[in-house]
Amino acid sequence: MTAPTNAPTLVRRRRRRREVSLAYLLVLPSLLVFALFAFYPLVRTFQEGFYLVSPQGERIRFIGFEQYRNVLTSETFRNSMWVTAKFVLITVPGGLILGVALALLAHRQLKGIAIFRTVFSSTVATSVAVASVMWLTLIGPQFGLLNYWLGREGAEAIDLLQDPNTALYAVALSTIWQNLGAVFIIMLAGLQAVPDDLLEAARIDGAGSWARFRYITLPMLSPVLLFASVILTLNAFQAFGQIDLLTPGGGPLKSTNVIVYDIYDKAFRGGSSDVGVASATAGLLFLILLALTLLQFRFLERRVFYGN
Amino acid sequence: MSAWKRRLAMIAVLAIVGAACSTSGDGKASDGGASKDRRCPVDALDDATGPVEITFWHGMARQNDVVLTELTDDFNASQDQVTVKLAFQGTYDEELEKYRLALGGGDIPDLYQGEDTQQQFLIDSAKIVPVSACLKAAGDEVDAFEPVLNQYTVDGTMWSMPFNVSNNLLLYNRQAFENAGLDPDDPPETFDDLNDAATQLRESGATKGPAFAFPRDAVYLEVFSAKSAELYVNEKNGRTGRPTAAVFAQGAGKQYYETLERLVDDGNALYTGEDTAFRFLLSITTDDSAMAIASSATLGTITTLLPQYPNVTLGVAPAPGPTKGGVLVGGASLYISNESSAAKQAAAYRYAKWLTEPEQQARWHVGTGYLPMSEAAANTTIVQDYWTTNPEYKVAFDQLGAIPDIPQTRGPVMGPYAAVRQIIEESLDSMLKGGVPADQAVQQAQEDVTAALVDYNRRSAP
Amino acid sequence: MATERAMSGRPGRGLLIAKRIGSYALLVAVAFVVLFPIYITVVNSLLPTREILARPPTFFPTSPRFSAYTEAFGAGHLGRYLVNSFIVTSLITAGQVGTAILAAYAFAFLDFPLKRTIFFAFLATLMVPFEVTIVSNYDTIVNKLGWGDSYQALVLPFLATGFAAFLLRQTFLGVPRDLRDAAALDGYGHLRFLGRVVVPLARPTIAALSVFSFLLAWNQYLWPLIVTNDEKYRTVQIGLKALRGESLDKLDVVFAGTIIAAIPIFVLLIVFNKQLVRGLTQGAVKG
Repeated sequence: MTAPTNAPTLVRRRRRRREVSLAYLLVLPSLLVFALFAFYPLVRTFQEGFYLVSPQGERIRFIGFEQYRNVLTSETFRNSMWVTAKFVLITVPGGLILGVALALLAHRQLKGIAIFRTVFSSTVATSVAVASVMWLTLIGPQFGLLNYWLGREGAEAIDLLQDPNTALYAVALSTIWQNLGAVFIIMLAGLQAVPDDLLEAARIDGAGSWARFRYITLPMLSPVLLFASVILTLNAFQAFGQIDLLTPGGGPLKSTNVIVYDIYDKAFRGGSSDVGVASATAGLLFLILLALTLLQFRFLERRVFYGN
Repeated sequence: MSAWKRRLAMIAVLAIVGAACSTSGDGKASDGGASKDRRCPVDALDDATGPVEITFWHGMARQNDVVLTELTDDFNASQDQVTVKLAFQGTYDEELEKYRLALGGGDIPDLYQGEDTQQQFLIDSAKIVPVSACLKAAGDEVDAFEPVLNQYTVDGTMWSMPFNVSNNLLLYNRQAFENAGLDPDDPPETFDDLNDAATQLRESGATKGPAFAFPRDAVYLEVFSAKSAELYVNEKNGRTGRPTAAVFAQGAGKQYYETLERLVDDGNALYTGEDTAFRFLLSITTDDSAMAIASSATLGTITTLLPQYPNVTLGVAPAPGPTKGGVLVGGASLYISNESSAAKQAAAYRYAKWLTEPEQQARWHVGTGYLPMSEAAANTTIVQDYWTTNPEYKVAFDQLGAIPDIPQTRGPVMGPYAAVRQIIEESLDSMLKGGVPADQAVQQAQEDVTAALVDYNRRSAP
Repeated sequence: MATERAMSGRPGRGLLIAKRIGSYALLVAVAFVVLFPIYITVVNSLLPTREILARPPTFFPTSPRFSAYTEAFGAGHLGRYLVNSFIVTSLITAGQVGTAILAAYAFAFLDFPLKRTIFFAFLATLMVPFEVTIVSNYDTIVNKLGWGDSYQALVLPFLATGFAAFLLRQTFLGVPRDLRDAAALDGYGHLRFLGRVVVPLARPTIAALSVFSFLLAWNQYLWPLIVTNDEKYRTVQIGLKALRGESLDKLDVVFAGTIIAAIPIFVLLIVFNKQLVRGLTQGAVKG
């Protein structure tokens, strides 16, 4: 404190210091929760992957990368990743396309449109568990109506969830339905932000409805599409409940054994549970998700129209 | 963007470094099941001041839950030394998961209801007071059939108190049999009989489809082996030590797989796959089928269901298959925790023992359909009265009494039961949905089961 | 559209009406498809199992019975469990929204070292599947803290989510900078600015977020099951699962239980539908 004090700088610096401590104070509650209930478990997961773990859950000894290597080269992991990839590729575009279609349908000035909007968003009120039980009425064994309608007289009864060729699609269908309400709401919100005069101008210039959609609406929707696709992708990668309720055990010939189900199944399987291998799998999944989210941001961000 | 990437990469690296650096080593040395104190302080209750409260984890849902609660209330009211607090924990599997999590240092319950499949795991957890030690200390005996007692005895030690007992039966629709010109009083005893009956049922139009329906289920392979008087795994079905290899594939297993394959190929059996909705049973009510194998524990539900279906008259027969051996004892038993105080161990023992007494077993049977485990329970008036109106229960009880006391009818004791059953289920899928021939499917299953057993042993204290 | 005009010959009012009827027809048809699974679940909850299985199926129950609902309520202990679910879910929702508002404000309006790193840490939590953390969290809560059978065990791990902070940050970024400057001139500190200006402006998003949080918390099953033994703390989803236990003859009860557990959420949706749509407009539209 030998230099003469420069009052304004000091004030600014003090204010700046106060701002920084305030910022840390504000993020602290969230960070504490994350540290304890997300990062610490994550670190432990990576760690546990390096240990041979007893069925009772005790670490027996350090075995380095052995389990990671075994998982990476295992048929189960390859199958699970493939099933997960298929599930993501069905549910994400499926959910986005149907969500946009529904939003376009409900984005008009009609009497009573609010009722339809409520109806279209209604599935947001269902959870994975509730939606799955509801879909049993359609795709469940014996009483599933879809099985009944698809079945032909005299032919062998159809059981969508028990056929290795259809099980994943049936589960995906119920997932798309369950997501539909949320995607619809997000897309409707996006549509409402598209300026009407822009569309009107295009119409006067002779642009057809497809052209208007393709060259005006879609680019304007791109931020919400990015938002929804990231959320849907993360959800699809972490699908668990619907698999457990609709095709417990991972489906016929493991055709619905998505990766999180596989992890759960390895960790929570009574006397056979192997937390070591499950952890190694979970660690790998985290790294894959991280890489994919980055790619998704990178690939999509270039195409997203942010306006100003 | 690249800054994002670097930061995310950093987080990941931090996580891994954290993993490598952490030397906390939660790896407590496992001391195995054998070295633990095996005494049972049955007298500790007398020293306790005031009633001792114990927690009892169970997996009994719905009607079973109701009856268990009634019995427990009566027990609590009948004396003032012990109060039992029931805690429903979901299915047996979910209950086990909770128990497993609690092994890390949480509270394991004073008394735990474990399915027969959980035996090896629970023994290896080293938290169990063997019931035989309590019986010895108290000078008691459990009044139950030998096969029931043997089911819960490993290497000479009875680890748990038998409680709810069931076995497998053939259920069929007597009316469909009559419509097909079959004698409903002469149900199929073997799978060959069953195949013939199914042909007649289908061809006569008594059923709309294959007359026998079965789910993706590994239990009946175990039963079939026991009925063939053959072992399922080595070490005498794991009764003389942890099993190291599966042995079912050559004889009984191969026969069972080939039988199922033939039934399906002949159009006489419908494979319903993973069947949480009980399609294999419910298809009887719609005349799609007319025969199924099910646990006696489902009888209660079925009989309450049937009045809705005038087209079905329930027939119950012993489980089909070879008769050299006998069926297996299914159900669950009660485990006392050695982490509980002496008074609580004594309390848990007293309650568990009380549940096996004829009076309670009789009420339990009549209320839930689980079988009375002793002759004395069967001879009570309530059971006898019940059987005059519900004779189907007697079939299961008689089958229980007829199990020959040979090593092969003591069900396999295996640590990785869940994995073993899953392997069998997947191999059934591979055969019946994936077209793999029976002999290959069963051989592969045996190799995979052996691998699961080896893996369990590798990860367990010797 | 050109063909329509050519065919009708006379554009104008008639066409407009026809178009409008077409719109309604399409809307009704789509609404029917979307609602069908819910409708048929309700129908099945009113039928005995025998009729659920009967073919051809029943779409309009002629003699509906509500016994499944009373049975579900009783057998699933749904009364007590619904109350618990409300308590737990409300606490979680309040916590999630609260922590997210604070953190989002810091990310949107303040500059501080490691800001981007911390923000990424928030995002990274979205990539950790809950099923992966469950073993460790059980260990922390029940084994280490000894909080089995308590409200804090049910609530604590869910008091913050990366998603909520992310969504609110996007919304807050939409608040014009000038407002902050103007508020500062009026002598508003950060907290006052947050409470008096930002939160009111972002109310729709906050409402939407609350609904989402409520929904997710309401539907938890696995976690409440493993950290509670005592009926005093158990939630409605556990009751539902107990109903599924022996569902052989009680398909109607399973469906009725599902409807009972879903009704509070549907009511919430209908009441807050407008906020939900408006809220997400604010949050999601900004990239």
